[in-house]
Amino acid sequence: MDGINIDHLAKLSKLSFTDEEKTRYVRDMTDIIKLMDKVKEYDVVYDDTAATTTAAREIL
Amino acid sequence: MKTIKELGAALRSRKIGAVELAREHIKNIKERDDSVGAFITVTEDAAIAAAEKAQKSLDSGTATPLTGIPFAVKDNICTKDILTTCASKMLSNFAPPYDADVIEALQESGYVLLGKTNMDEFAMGGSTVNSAFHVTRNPRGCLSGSDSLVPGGSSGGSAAAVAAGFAPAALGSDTGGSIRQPAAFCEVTGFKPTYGAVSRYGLVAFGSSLDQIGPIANTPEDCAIIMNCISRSDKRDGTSKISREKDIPDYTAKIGKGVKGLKIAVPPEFFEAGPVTGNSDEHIKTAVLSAVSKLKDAGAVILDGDAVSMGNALEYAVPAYYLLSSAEAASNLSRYDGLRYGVAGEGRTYDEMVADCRDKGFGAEVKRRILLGNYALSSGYYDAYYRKALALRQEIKRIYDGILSRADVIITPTSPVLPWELEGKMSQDPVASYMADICTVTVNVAGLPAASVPCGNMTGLSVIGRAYFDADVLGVCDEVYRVLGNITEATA
Repeated sequence: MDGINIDHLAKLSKLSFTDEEKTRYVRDMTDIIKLMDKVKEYDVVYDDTAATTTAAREIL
Repeated sequence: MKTIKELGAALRSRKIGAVELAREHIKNIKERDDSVGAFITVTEDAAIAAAEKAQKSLDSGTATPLTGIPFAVKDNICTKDILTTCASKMLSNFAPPYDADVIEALQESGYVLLGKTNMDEFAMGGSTVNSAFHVTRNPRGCLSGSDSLVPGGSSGGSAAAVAAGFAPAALGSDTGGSIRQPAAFCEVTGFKPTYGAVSRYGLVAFGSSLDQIGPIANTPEDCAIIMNCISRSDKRDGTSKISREKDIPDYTAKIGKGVKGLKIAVPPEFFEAGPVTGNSDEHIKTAVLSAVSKLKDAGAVILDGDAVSMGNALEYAVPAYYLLSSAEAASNLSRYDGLRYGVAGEGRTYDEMVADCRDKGFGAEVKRRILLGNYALSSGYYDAYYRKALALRQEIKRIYDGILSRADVIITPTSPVLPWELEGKMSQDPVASYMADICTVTVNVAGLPAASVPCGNMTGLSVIGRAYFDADVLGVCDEVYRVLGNITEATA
């Protein structure tokens, strides 16, 4: 996991933080992204074809 | 506690009038909701007007099973000219110019809206602590001597309203367990329908591919009665899968039919102490497995062990769910800019005005979800997080399809933990509260129907079914309700 660039993320999210808030959100997001990193361990690949087929079937 | 079925019979036989019933419930809310906090808005005048109209239907013999029945509705479901705040400062003055499809359906049935219920802001949370307005206390906790337990969430106000006797029926919404978990904590029944079975038109969007409106009531049969009203064709929701009248099932079809010969899968991972469910309360495991044993005595065939295993996919379900739902939330909530929706922001530039609006309008948990969603969707992280979560979604669906090809339904605990203290660690620690969703999120990821039925002492038993076999789920819940007796009244 890379360090959180809170300024960049805040800009993407259209949010602005005080320095105190930045410290808090960096801490929270570091813990949350550590949990999200778990998905990288699972050996599975997204199947675009399956998604397309399902969507087509639903439309029909 | 009176059920919809009982109240409906009393109304139709003139043992009670619709206006009298509405006044009784409003009085109860006024006298007791200060200590519970279930409602954000109470619609007294509209309720009496609706009850008067309902009485005319009852008098003319055109009543439906829901005519005159008082309802509470979660505050993220649009009600025309009635505040719909999503428990957020952002929408604190928002009165929608239209009704949600479910509200139109209930109005056609002659329901009586008592008010709008508290929730976690924009449905993000599992405690109703994340409301911008006030906390909601668990009425069952109050009865057992503790007034400081959460009611669950995010539909905590709706579940608490039913549990406290403020309304015999309520609507909630469920993106990752937000109907089922509060239903378990408050010892009522909550049902999350198959994705697409109920129109999302007029539901304020959180995670559009996961959100679903559903009922909370005192019994599985009451939930089925509500589903017969709100599940219908709606062209205004492109994901509404019920496209023709003949597709609409009778949700009460399996009520009272028992479970003889029914194959019930009990995946071991939901009961094991391990890295994911290590904090499972032993009481929950014992209560759910005891209920399963009673279903076996009633004639069900129980499948357990490797044949119905989830493998290790469950360990990855929570992060996959949070990546998907937060990515969708980041997109959905971009509309709150102070121009189209939301509080007016100040600043020298457009960007500053928008940021000011969002800083003032959103609470901390909503900001965390928006940050996470944008992180997962941003350049350089998309494949590693969002696309991987999409792959896990396919994997979880495949695993459920496998289990449900061998079994009719699946039983799990609704929550690995009991209701926690309002001010406790679970209310302060985002990661801990996310992990508590382990038993519910996979159902939304796979789009399946599932319900929580009371299993004693603020514990819920969850029944998961095949897509569009919603009636089967409610039928099994009904049998659980019958074989366990009325636990809620026994413990109250």
